[in-house]
Amino acid sequence: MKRRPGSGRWSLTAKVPLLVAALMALAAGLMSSGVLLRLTQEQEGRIDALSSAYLEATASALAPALARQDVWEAFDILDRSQRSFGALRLRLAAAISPDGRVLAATDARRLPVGAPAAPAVDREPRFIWASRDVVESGIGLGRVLIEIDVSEQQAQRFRLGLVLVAANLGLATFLAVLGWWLVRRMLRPVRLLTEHLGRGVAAVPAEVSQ
Amino acid sequence: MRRRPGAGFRGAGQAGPPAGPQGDAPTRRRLLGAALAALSAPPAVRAEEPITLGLTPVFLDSDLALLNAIEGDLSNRLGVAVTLVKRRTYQEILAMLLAGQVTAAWICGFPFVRFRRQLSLLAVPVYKGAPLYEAYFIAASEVPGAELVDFRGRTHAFSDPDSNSGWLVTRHLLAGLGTTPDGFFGRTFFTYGHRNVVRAEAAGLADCGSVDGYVWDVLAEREPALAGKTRTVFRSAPMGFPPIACLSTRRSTRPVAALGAALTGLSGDAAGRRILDLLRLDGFVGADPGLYDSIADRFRSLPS
Repeated sequence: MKRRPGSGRWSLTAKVPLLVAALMALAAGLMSSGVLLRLTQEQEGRIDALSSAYLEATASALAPALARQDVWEAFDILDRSQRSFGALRLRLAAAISPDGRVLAATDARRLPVGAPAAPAVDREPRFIWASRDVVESGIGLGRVLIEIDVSEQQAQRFRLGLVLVAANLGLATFLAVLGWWLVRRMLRPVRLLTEHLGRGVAAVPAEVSQ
Repeated sequence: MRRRPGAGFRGAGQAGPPAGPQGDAPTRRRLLGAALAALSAPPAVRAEEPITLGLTPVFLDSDLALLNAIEGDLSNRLGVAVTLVKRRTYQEILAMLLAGQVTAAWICGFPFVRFRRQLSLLAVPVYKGAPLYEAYFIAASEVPGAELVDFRGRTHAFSDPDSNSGWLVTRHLLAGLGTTPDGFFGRTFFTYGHRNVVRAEAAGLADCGSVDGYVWDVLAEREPALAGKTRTVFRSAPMGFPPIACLSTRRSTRPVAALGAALTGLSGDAAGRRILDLLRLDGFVGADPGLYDSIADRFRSLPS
């Protein structure tokens, strides 16, 4: 932006568009974070609803296998349900005995039969865990544990964030340039008059061109 | 192998009293006579008696398209509705067979020798030119080991407690080492299906398993991604292929005989050969119970 020599301050031509752009950026930032927050809440709500539906159905199906400590039946139920439940990206499903040990898991290399369930749990942010107690006639038979891959949802939020930042940045820049051009154009007669008035003080007055 | 003469049996759809000449008016006396004749006739000659064939996982019974094809072909061949009956375990099908709730059942050689007095052979599949198959001891690809002793302490998946290849063979081998499955392996469980044993190993649930060699071979061809996660450690000597058996007391009844004839006749026409091709079998033949002597010897030699 052009600064008036010797003034030491930003010219009005630069200040107004920059102020507008800054306000726009602030408004866009608030709106974008609102949009991202809303998307996050919707994604979490959807994952909660889907995982609850999965856990409820699977817990009910698993109850007899947990009661009998039937490794194969528990695995078969988990394996089939994991493959058929496409609405969630299940990375792992496990049936846990009341003593906290694994009865069966779809990835038995990570959660071997008889191993304690807790140490193998990943703490990476792209995976979230959910569980449901399996209870029959008031007696706890164990629990179902699932690991959900939410990297797709995270990537979706990241992509949307990028689009919002790029769009808002582009719009703010465009409006700032447009504002600068308009203000400059609007202030042109004033600047011309000021220059002539300044020249008139020092020399012979001249005609102001249209 | 001596082939049991299958020809000569009449299909159930072809059986029954001949139809009267067209144009004969059905009089009350004629209808009453026909009804009395039908009621007094023994079950063996009732033409419309439905046929039920019990199935166990001695083949890839998870293939629903194959089951539909078998059911459709046998129904067409016999002229009556043929229903295939599946249950979770061999024991359930065996109980149905012994109770006369199914016409016949495709069972394993092990239950056949255990109930030899009550059961008769109806037909035996021919695989790779002979009515024989092998038991495989398989291991997950990443699990090392070249012989049985290398798998001490491992998690082992058996197919079914009434399966020869999926239980008895390994049980017998361990008895030879002076031990039992529970004493030798770290953990054992039954999956109630040979394909399930492979699934258990592929998922890391089991390190090794006992399966029917024919089922594993077919699986390796049809689902190479699944079977490829396992490898054959060793194979047994050839034994009698899992037979289709019926109650001895019903062996000569028409539905049973017709079913036997239909099975042994499968290789005689294009439709039957398509079914056999799906099963990866050469055909079905009659066989002598002596075919299962090696299984009976294994069973008898087990410590009680």
